[in-house]
Amino acid sequence: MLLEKLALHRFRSYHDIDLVFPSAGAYITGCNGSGKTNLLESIFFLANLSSFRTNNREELRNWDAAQGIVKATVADRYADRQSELAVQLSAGTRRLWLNGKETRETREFTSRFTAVAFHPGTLQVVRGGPAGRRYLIDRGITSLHPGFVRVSQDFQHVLKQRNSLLRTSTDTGFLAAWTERFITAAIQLMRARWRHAELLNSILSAELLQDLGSDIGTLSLDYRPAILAKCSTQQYERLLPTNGTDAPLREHFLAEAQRLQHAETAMGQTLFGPQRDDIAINFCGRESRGYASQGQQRLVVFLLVAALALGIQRQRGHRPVMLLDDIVSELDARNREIIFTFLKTHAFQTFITATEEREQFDDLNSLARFQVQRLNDQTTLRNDMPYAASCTH
Amino acid sequence: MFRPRTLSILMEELCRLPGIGEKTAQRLAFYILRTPQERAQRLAQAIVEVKEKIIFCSRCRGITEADPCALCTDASRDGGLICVVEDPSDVFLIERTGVYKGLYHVLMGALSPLDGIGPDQLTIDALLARVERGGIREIICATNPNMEGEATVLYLARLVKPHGIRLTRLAHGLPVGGHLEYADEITLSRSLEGRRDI
Repeated sequence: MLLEKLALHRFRSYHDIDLVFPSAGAYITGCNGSGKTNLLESIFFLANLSSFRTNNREELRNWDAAQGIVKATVADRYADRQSELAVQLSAGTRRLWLNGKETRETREFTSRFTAVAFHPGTLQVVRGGPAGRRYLIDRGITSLHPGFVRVSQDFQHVLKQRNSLLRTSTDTGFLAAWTERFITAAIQLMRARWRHAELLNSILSAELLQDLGSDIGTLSLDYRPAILAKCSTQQYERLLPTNGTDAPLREHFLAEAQRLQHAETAMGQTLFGPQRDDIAINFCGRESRGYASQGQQRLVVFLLVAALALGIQRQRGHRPVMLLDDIVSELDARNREIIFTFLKTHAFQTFITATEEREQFDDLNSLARFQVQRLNDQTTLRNDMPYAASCTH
Repeated sequence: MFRPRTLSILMEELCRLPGIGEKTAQRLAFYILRTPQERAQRLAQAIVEVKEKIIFCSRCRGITEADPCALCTDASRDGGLICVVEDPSDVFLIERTGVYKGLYHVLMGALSPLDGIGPDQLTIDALLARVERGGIREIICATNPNMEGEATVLYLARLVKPHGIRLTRLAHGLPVGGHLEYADEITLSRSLEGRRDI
């Protein structure tokens, strides 16, 4: 998929810009606070209808404007189709247009354009608690299988119902009914996570790490369902794979429900299930949560984003756009080289931001170059290089 | 804004109805104001009567004017078959198909702890009493195909299965006359699971 044109109107620090991008993508430089990330955020928003740095859509509009608009022309070369997408943000509402017609079909809209992002905020995922890693993996599944949203919402809903029940009732038959429904939703969610971790692991070991040079080391995801924490590896491999029957896993859940019954009633909340899962990110044989350096964490997150991009290409048959926000800072020459090798080999349309020009980018000379400046509280872009890009404001 | 008090009261009452906002309430109120006296009288009468005369059937808990209801006393219907629904209006939906010839049982909702609805708020005891009286071969669960409806079915299963009665639920699947393209993944995968030999 390619982002061919992008127009922003009153989005974050942008007042009115119109941009045209080449199929390689763009390299965006500028000072701190000039609006580089805002540009990537608008592209990410177009693909996911959510931001990578805020859950509050109100922040996305220009602070004094009644409405903000993101408009784009995207092309899917595999399907040989071009689409015009537009999102309008005004107080409390979000309206979508697809090819000039207003639509409420979010799924249809988001199927037209896919983007994966590296954002420094994502680094928190490596260092922080398991919630961030669950979020990362669930979001990854959604970009591969949009229908997963339903699985995840179903699970959250049944979990809320069961928790509410544990707080208000002591009827064991009533609880048993909701426990059964909870287990069904939990197994669906766990299997999706397990499949996703397996997919990323196979891409990391079979394609990505080999292509980039064997001296990177190993990187793998170790999905640890909380419910199977005490299981041996053999048990684990017998229970989780999707081709088998649900029965043994269900039994395991039921035994856990039985064991925790008193504690759950006392605490008034569900004490087992995938809401407590963790996904260990193992880099060079060690869990990166405790051992990876700042630079290594960056590399790890980049490799996970890259693996997801390859996964989307493999499973959905189209190439997502890569958004890399401030990717090269803190990286040594070798790790920067790894990233550029990936970008050159796979040639996804890539949008990179950095505070200054770096010589490494000379290799990526087909990227359009933009210099972002902040003047009179609005961001303007200057096209630095004579590549197929134009810019007006 | 000046508005006669009686008109304001009518509008406020109309506004309480589901799906009626302030503007629609005003339109309806003025419409009622313009209609002939007798028609307005009939509307008022109908509202009063529906509240006075409609009662719940002591057997199936469906709505009726006479207890037991016409469905429960219809000798031509199969007394060994009970279709369990959430809402009295669901009875009419299923009756409209003209295919079902058994009896009904209205639960008056579905189990939803978040809304404070547990087994005691539903007519489950009455259903069990019917089961214990005997003569029932099969119970068809026609609760809504959502989380709450499914949990209710699971709860009923625990209570009904020991009586050796067949318990079934409506099939999940594709709408007739629909298009595969428009089915969501969950419906489609349920349809695959529930596929049939031809």
